[in-house]
Formats: sequence, structure tokens, C-alpha cells
Amino acid sequence: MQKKLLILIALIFCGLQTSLAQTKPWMTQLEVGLLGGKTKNLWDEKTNQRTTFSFSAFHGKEVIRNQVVGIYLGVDHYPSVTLIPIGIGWRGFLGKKSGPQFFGGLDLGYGSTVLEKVDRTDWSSNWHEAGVLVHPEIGIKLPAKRGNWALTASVGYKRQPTYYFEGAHTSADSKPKIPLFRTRDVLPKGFSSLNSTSILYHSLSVQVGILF
Amino acid sequence: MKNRFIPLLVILFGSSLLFSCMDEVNSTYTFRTMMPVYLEMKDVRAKLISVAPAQEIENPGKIYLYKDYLLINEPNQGIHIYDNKNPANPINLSFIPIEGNIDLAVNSDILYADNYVDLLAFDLSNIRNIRLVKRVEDVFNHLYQHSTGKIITFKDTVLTSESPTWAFETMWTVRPNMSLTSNMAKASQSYGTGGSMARFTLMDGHLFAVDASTLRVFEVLNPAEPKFLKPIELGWGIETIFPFDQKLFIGSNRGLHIYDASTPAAPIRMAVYEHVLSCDPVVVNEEYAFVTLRSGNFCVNGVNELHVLDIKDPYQPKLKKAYPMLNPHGLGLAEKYLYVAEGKHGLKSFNASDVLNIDKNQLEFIQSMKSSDLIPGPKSLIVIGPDGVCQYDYSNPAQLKKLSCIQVSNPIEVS
Repeated sequence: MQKKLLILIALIFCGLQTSLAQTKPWMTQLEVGLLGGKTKNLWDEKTNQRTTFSFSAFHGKEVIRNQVVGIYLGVDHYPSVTLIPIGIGWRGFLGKKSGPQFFGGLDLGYGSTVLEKVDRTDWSSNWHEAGVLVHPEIGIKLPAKRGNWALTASVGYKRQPTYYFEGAHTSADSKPKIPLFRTRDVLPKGFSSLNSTSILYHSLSVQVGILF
Repeated sequence: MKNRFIPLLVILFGSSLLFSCMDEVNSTYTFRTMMPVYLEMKDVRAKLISVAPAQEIENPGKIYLYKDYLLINEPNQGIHIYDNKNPANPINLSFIPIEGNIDLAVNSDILYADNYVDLLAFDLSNIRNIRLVKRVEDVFNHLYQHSTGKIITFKDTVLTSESPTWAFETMWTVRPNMSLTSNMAKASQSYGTGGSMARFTLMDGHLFAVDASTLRVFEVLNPAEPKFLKPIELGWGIETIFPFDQKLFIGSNRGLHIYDASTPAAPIRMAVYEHVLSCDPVVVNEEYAFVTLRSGNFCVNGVNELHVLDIKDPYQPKLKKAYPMLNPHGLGLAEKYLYVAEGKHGLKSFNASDVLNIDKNQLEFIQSMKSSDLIPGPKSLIVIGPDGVCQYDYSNPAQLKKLSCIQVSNPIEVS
């Protein structure tokens, strides 16, 4: 998994290198931060605090003055799963470009589970899935004194549904296909039972980043 | 400017941290089960059975070949009638809706079909005007739940619960696919050829029906007037029945029962050939019985074999030879050729004239032809598999040619 993660981060940076070579009005924002929230154990109702790592890269174009629309890619680590969120994003800025600016952002995408392994035996298959993420944020952009870059700090809310499925096969050698998308309440072909655990993560995101 | 923003940012961070984000965690358990359904027979009998227009097959059960007609049971729903004059193009004619129907047999234009605890007789002489001519009540009374007087049946159901445990306490966690395939019933001229599970069969003016533990005998000398004669207890685990030469070969999951049916009204047990717990459809010729034993579902012993039994002395059946197989389901015998449905592994044909060297006389093994049961009919080899009900030209057993496939919306899962 770590190998995949490194490859992904390398790809993101390669993409950014390309973007650096381009002229304005393209914009790239890299953010790292934490996702925080509270989660409850199913078995004893006990509440636990969670704090996990998040990284994201936004690359977009200024479509109208101070309004940037682009693509969004990241890595979100949660206690149960590590996701690659991929989607579209928007950044809107207030104020003069030469000085500090408030900004608002919205990322919409899908949490991919490519980093997660599917556990399969003759009798069972266990796998992760995730759903649509929504991530509104507000922050501040502080331009550097020299150069064409800025520091950013933001807080936001990230909504990310995730699912974990534990399926029992109809027979030992049926090896059913893993459904491509979420199949809650439906029994996929080749399975005699399916235990589904859904966790809708409501996270506070706190991030710092650079923008260029 | 900077000074204005920093306090704002601090306030924003602080208030955000106080904000409580509680995750929503839910767990559900979805499972396939057989739900008990309780019915009053008077309500079932009150419903008029009228033949409906042709319907698409959802989930084929037993198949039965009679003259140029192919009858396909939709378990617990009824019977589809196909015109099979041309096996390359079977025509869906009509559907007889029969609740609780599992098996069927045809004798001189009279179709026998179970309707929960009753036996129904339909006149097929005019295929465009099929009529119910007789109902014999309360013969399959093992379905009655005696404490209530209601019948109990099971419906294949997918349920979702919030807890994985309660299901096991209240439900019948029987797998719907535990149903056991059986085989063709070789028949005399006026009878049809039966298939899958073959729990109904006809011989010498009598209809024999088996359930899990009982053989029931009906006299059908007047085909339109079936008369229930008596039940014969066989022991648990009965799966298939195959008539041959005034004998009944009854496959159970513990062995093969041979009954002398020379007096069809009163079959007498001749012998029981016992083997390990396994599923075992059977076909027979004058000298040998061919039995497949397979693992899977309730057949838990992990044995996948074809047994050839010497039945020249039916009172003392002897194992002649056992051949390893992959996962044999149904099988069929046409003259000297033996066809074995090998489940997901495919379909095999053998020349079985030398019973000691059947494995060396394998003619064809078509791995792409997944199959669970088959009937070698007069015009075609009829095979049930994941593709539906398919027919093959088997004039050359070493080279089967696909003629047609009747598509089904919920294909059989072949393990």
C-alpha cells in the first residue's frame, strides 16, 4: 500500500511540475492537514476521537476573475480505510491579489479505494467501497513577499461515506465477482450473505498549503 | 491588512475545533434464506387455474419432454409449455400457473403436477386449450404443519437486518440452491421423459412420486382419473427416482434403493446400495446403474465420483468401478453413450459400453458448456445450465452442436 501511495504522490508532483511551466491563469494548490472527528463503536457505543492525515492537490484555471475551477486529487486516511479522493474543485478569492485574501473552496468527488486490498478466500470476500465526498472550506491566502506563490490556511468540513463488505460465497468454488459499486441491501450474485458496515465520516479539516 | 485577518483566522479555527463532528456508523446483514409461508389449502383450491399466455422463464426447475413439447417448471410458480418440434427454435406457447408446483409428469396427454399437497391432472390433448380435469386432494401431506392444519412452504427471500444474529434464531437458513438435480426418467411410449429431481415418474400405469422420505403410488390406468394408492416410507434423504424394467431406482443421499415394481401398486424393496453421504442422481440400463456422487450444498463429503454398479442381480448390487469426476451433477444415458453434467466444469460425453474403461472412452469434454442437468431426448440433448435451457444435436456424441438456448432471467447458479 505504501508503494502505491508513493507512486501516487510522485504522479501528483509530476503533474504539478507541468503546471508550473504554464503561464497564468492556471493555479495549483497543495494542502496537507488533519481530519478530525468523533466516531462510535458499534458494539459498546463508546465514542472515540479520531485524527488522521490528509493531503490534496488542486489544479485549476481562473475562469473569471478570482474564480478558479479545476480538478482535485488527494489522499485521505481514515481509521478504517485510506482513500484516493478524485473529483472537481472550485476556489473563489476575495480581495486584491497583491495582498492577503480570503478564499472559499468546494471539492466534490469520489473516494476511490484502489489502495485497499480485496481479501478473498474460497468461502468469503471482504472489500472496501466509498461514496461521494463533499468538502467545503474557507481559508486565507498569504502571498509571499517575493515570487509568485502564497501560503494558505483553511478549515472545512469533509463528508465522506465509506463501506466495508464481508460477503460469504454461495459455494467454495463460486468465486463471485466483486460488485463495482456499493451494493448495500442487495445481495450480489454468488453471495449467500453480506455483512455491510457503513461509516459516514463527518470530519473537520484543518489544512495548510502552498499556492502557485 | 495582515493584522485584521489573523484574529479572524484564530476565531475561525477555534470555533471549528469546538464543532463536534460525529460519524454515523451502521451495520446491516443481508442474507438469502427460505422464509416459511403458511397457507390454507382451501384458499389455494379456491383459486381458478387458467392457462396464461407465454411468459419468460425466470428460474427453471424441472424439465420434461413429452412428444414434441418441452415442459419447464418454474419452481412454485407453474409450468411453461414450449413447442419443441424444431429443437433449433423452441416456441413458447403458454404458461400454466400452479402454486407450489415442483414436479410434473405426462401420461397419454394427461399432465400430472403437484399443487402443494394436491395432485392435479391437466388434459393436454389440445395444447391450445389445456384444462384441469382432476384434483386429488391431500396426497403430499408432508407439507401440512399438523399443529395448525396449514401448509408450510418456503420462499426464497433476501432479507436485510440490522443485526447478523437474529436471523439465525428466527429464520430457516436453508440455502435455496440446495435443491438437488436428478435425472431423466426413461419412459415407455405413452409417457414423457422427465428431468431434474425426477421426483415424479411413470411406469406400468402408475405414477410414483417421492418426497424427501416417502414414495407415493398413484394408479393412473385411466390417465385422467389418478387414484392415490398408498405411501411407502423410504427413509430420509430421497432425491431422485428412475424407473427401469419394472424396477424403481431411487437415489438418496446415502445410497441407491432398488424396488421391485412388478406389482406397481405395491413396490417391494430389493436392495439398498449404501455409500458415503453424497448427492447422487442415477441412470440405469439392463446391467448397470450409473450414479454420480458430488460434493457441494448438502452433499458435504467432498466426493466427486461416477459409480458404476452391477445390477444384474438387483438384490445384490455391487460396485463395479468408481471414476473420479470434477463435480458431476445430472447424467443421462442414451444407448451406449453416457452424458455427465460436470457443473461449472462443463459437459462430458462417454462411450459407456465398456464399463470398466469409461474414463478411457471419454468422447468430448466441453468446458465452456456449464451444466447442471440434462435429458437425452429423441431429437436433442436438453441441458440446463447458466445459459438457460439449451439444446444440442448429439447425433455425434463426440461432437455436440448447439441448436438453441432458451434464455432465462434468473439463471441457475452452477457450482
